[in-house]
Parts: sequence; structure tokens; C-alpha cells
Amino acid sequence: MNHINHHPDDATLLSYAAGALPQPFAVLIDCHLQQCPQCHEKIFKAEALAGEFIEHSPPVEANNSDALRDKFFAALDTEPAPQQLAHSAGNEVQLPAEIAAVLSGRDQELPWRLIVPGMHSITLSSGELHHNSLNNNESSLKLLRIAPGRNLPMHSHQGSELTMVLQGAFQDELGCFRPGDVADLDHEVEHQPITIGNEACICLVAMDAPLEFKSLVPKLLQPFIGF
Amino acid sequence: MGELKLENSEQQDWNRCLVAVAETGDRKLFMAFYDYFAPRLRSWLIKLTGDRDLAEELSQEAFLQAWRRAKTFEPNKAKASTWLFTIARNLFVDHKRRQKVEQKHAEKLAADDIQNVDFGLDEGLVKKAIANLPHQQSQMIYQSYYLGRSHSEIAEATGLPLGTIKSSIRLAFQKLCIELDPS
Repeated sequence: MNHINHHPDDATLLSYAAGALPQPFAVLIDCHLQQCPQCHEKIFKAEALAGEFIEHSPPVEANNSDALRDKFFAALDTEPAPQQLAHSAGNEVQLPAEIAAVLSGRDQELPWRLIVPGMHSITLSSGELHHNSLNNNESSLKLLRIAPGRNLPMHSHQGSELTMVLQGAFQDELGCFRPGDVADLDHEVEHQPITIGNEACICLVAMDAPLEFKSLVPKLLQPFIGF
Repeated sequence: MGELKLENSEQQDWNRCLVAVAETGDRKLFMAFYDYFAPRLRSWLIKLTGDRDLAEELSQEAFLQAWRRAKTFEPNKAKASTWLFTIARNLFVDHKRRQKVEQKHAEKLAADDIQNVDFGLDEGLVKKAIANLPHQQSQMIYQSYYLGRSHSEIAEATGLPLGTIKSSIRLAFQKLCIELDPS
């Protein structure tokens, strides 16, 4: 397992636990959690807080509570006794196929789309997520492949952005990011990531608003490059 | 099961209740679990979804799943309430994915009274811990857990910068962990 130096903000982990993260962000956190027991522990704590809130709220009886109870008991009556299930049954996280391909070193097989020389991307909307809300509310999940030695133009964000390195590494004003590391940014942060090392850097990027580029050329290109 | 004190909500009782349900398949015992948690879970889901019918549907399904998966409950890893919450939360997230509830929520933002923070907690440590938070922090915690709002949606509702929202949630999370030691 890689040593992880950069983690999602605790606020992001709490929102994930509360079920409040937009879907693309939740997929990225799922991906990070597979490699990070430390963040898993924080998610458990945030879930336990929610459990406390529910356990310690006074019961609010609806006027149809009895009918709901009868209906539930009738449904329960038709159920077999609890069965032995695999521990994680129903809770297994299935990552989109494109991410699984990158993680298993099969990124060459993916249909990368050229954005500008040295930079390719794939918008994730396939697999189990094909009919969902990945791209609504302006939030999106993309894979980005940046060639060695290339940099992204200086940019900030109108909304939130989460970036997780899947392969290779990049560096920006906040430090060096390697596989498993997550950059958890908002619009107050302006940065210019540069890939480091000899291999391409492949990142998973979740955004809920388009990037704001600082120079004119990327601004003009923005409608075409899909960011 | 006479030794289980199901009228109160001591942690080990609900944990023991679920373990006993898993071992014996006792439906009446499971209904005691249902009777305590259903009105509470439903109340949380109504706030979260803004839709009573949907909340009832998700709540019923959560209890059915809890029954089916009772043998996967591990009392040394999580409290029964946490386990039930994660089942209901996952159902809500799946539903949101299919139905795009997010959009409905976003449309409602303007009409909402953002100052309204009604955790509705009973007297005790949890209520005290929330009361000890600065108002802005408890508001952010409420909007995350009870309204299911993302940071950007909270920013839209409150007019506060994203950075402020994230730091408020982060600080509140840290304080609640210190006071309540959830595990």
C-alpha cells in the first residue's frame, strides 16, 4: 500500500458519511478509501455521529404509524430468517470500469480524448453509473492523463474540486501528490499543477463547477477542451 | 429475551438485540428494534428528502435490509444505530443517484429558512455537544446530516464562501469527536 500524504478535508469526509457529497465526489472518495484506513476511521466516526443523532432524537409519530407498522410486520412475516451473508454483502464498492482499468495498469486500452497536446481526458459516465446524475448540477467526474513534464494552466475554481492521483505524480503550490493522494480544493486556491517523474500522470478529477483559467488562451479554449 | 432492557436506548441493549435477532430469527424482538428506531429514522429521512412518502418507503426498506443482513452486524465495530444509519444512508444515496433528488433540493434552497436548525435531540450528551458548538458550526452540521446538502449547496443557501463552510464543518466534526467519542 502506498504511503498517503494528502487526504481529503475532514469536512469532505463528513459530507461523504452524511450522504451529502455530489456523486462524482463520492466515487472519488470511494476510490481513496480503498487505499486509506486513516480516512476510513474518520468516516466511521462521522457515521457514528449520525447514529447518535438518530438514536437520541425523540420519536416523531406519524398519524399513520400503526398502519406503517402493520405493513412492515406483514412484509417481515414473508421474509426468511436472517441468512449468513458475506460480511460486505450489499456494501461492496464498485468503481467505474475506467478507474479499475487505470488502477490495474490497463489505461492504454481506454478511449482517451485529446484535449491539447500532452493532455487527454475521459468523462466518466459508464458502467453502473451510466444513467445517473454524474453530469448534472454541473458536477462531473473525469480522468485526466498529463504527459511527463507538462503542466496545467494556472487556474482556480468556481466550486469544489477533488483530484486524486491514480498513476505518476504531480506537484503544485501545495506539495507533491503521488498515487492515493487527494488534493481537496475550493475556489480560494489558485494552483498550477506540473507532472513530475518520467511517466504520465493520471488523475481522477471531480468538480462541481468549471475551472477558472487565469490566462486568455485557456479561457478561449475552455469551451473546446471540456473543462 | 427478558433480560434485554429494550425500553431504554443503552448501546449494548440495541447491539445485543440485533445479535439476538441474527441468532434466533425472532421477529417480535426485531419489532422492538423497529418500534424504537422507525419513528426516529423516518423523522430524519423526512427532513433529508423533504418527501414524506419517500421517507416512509426508504425507512421500510432500511428495516427489511437490516433484518436480511442482521448476521453481518458486528457489535464490536459499530453501534446498532450507526449500522442502521449506514443502511438508510446508502438507500438514500442510491435513490438520489437514480432520481436526481439533488436538483429538487437545489430548487428549494431559496425558499428555505437557513437559520432553522432543529436537531430535535432528547436531553443528554449529544444535545449538549451540539449546543456547545457556535451557531454557524451547528448550522453546517445540520445542513449536512439533516438536509443532505453538499458544501456548494450550503454556500448557495448561506452566501458564505466554500472555505468558511469547510472549516466550520471540520472544526465542528473535531469538537463533536472529542465530546462524544464516536466509534
